[in-house]
Amino acid sequence: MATDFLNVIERALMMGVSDTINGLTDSENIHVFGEFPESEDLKFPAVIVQQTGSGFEEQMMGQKITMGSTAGTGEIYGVSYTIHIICEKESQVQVKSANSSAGDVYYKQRRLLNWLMLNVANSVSDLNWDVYEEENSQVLERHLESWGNIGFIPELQWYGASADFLLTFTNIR
Amino acid sequence: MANTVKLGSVNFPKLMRQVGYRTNQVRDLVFARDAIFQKTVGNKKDADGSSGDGTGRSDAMAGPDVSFGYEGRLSTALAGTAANTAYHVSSPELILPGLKAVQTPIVSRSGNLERTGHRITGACTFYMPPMGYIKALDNFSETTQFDELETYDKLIDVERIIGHIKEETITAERNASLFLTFNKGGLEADLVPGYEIDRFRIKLKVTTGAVELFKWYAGESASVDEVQLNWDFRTSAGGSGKVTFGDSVYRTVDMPLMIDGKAVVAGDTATIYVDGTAHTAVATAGGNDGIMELNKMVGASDSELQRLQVETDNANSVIDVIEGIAYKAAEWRIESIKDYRDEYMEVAAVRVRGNRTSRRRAYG
Repeated sequence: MATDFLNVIERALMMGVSDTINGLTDSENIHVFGEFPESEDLKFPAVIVQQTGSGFEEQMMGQKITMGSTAGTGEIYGVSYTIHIICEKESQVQVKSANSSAGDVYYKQRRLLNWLMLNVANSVSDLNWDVYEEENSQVLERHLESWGNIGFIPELQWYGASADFLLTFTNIR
Repeated sequence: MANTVKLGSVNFPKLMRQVGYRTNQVRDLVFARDAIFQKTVGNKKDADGSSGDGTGRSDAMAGPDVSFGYEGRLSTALAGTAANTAYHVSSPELILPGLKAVQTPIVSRSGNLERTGHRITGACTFYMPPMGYIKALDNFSETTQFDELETYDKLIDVERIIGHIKEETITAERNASLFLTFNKGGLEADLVPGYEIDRFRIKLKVTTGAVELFKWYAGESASVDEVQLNWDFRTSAGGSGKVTFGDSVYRTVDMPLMIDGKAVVAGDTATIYVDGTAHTAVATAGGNDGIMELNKMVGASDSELQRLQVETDNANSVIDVIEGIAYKAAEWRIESIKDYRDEYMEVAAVRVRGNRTSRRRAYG
């Protein structure tokens, strides 16, 4: 029976990013959401993981594929996400001294945005899928493209940035 | 000089009464809001990442719960936390009849032939009394769940009455049941096709006892098997318990006979409100030939909607039913709200759902 890889990996990605970046703060809350939280549900600072596409990345001769010791039918499957970071003007996070450029200081606004961009990038790069996935999966590659649309929306007083993230996994069934 | 007269204020309820005498533009709507479930969240991980270590996903993650962005059926958080239905309990389905509004249709019904078939669309504006007035209406004032009109809320209108249910009062007959027959076009014997009907509405009083079931019979004749749809409130059937209507005022019951143009299946639920309290009924089958599939009732003598039975728990109940109709519904979804404070509200609504009743008849 085929595993529900798209949901398993999406949830693991969200949980992994949340666990990592929140672990760097001094009991602060950085909220990670799937696309898109209702306005009543939205809390800041927010990291929103939006799936933007998925499909076959690479197919093998005879559709033969292995994952660990398991052989089956399948292919390399690719998923693309856009990861959005939004910080309200008043959002603040106390970063642990070991993870900040100064002592236990509060990060706000652009400083917080910069810190989040780097640490979300670090977390997706280092994410250990085994810890977060509900079922075994095999993520083969991951690529975080550069953060773009970095800016401030004056009407909402939001600081934000977005980056595309792509990964491939073994879609075995 | 102080002027205590609030110039320009509109007595909207009076306006609705006046317009209602002369036109059909004043509609008696059912306010409907879907239940809101909690989003599925994750908050546990497997810290050592190895399966089969006996601990599984039991380690707390740093930070707040991660909201995946979709509702769960029971809102169960991932990995072992208890089912959390708090959102649903505090925001159940709302079905509140008796909301009157002036409708100015822009397009009340428009059928477009599209690549995927036929789509019924429409747009209209409802003018309603101010929120303070609505919140004082029966049920709206009593339930704690209703707050204000919002986008995504639905307003269910009577598009077309298919059958009038005969008004009747019955005391302690037929095991405390009231059998109601149709009175269509003045002729009681007229056939009532079911495929056009989406919902029914009755107003009733019940002296002594509580209502356990609304039973609908169809496809019935002397020699032909009958089918039956029971809206069963009894806890034994999975409902929330029998409903006490009382005899002080007529209470409105508005329930589906088809859901989204499809036949009700056993296990479907429907909600009614009495004095602001929600009561849930579960659809069950009955009769000799299973559950009633109304879309298959085409209006032949052995294939028609027949009668409604109101069944109570007490042999001495007096059941009094008036203004009963079975109707084809128009479902309007609120798109925008303009609130002219203390005066009236202008609510733009669209309908984007609907199917051709001829297909219901053909495909059954």
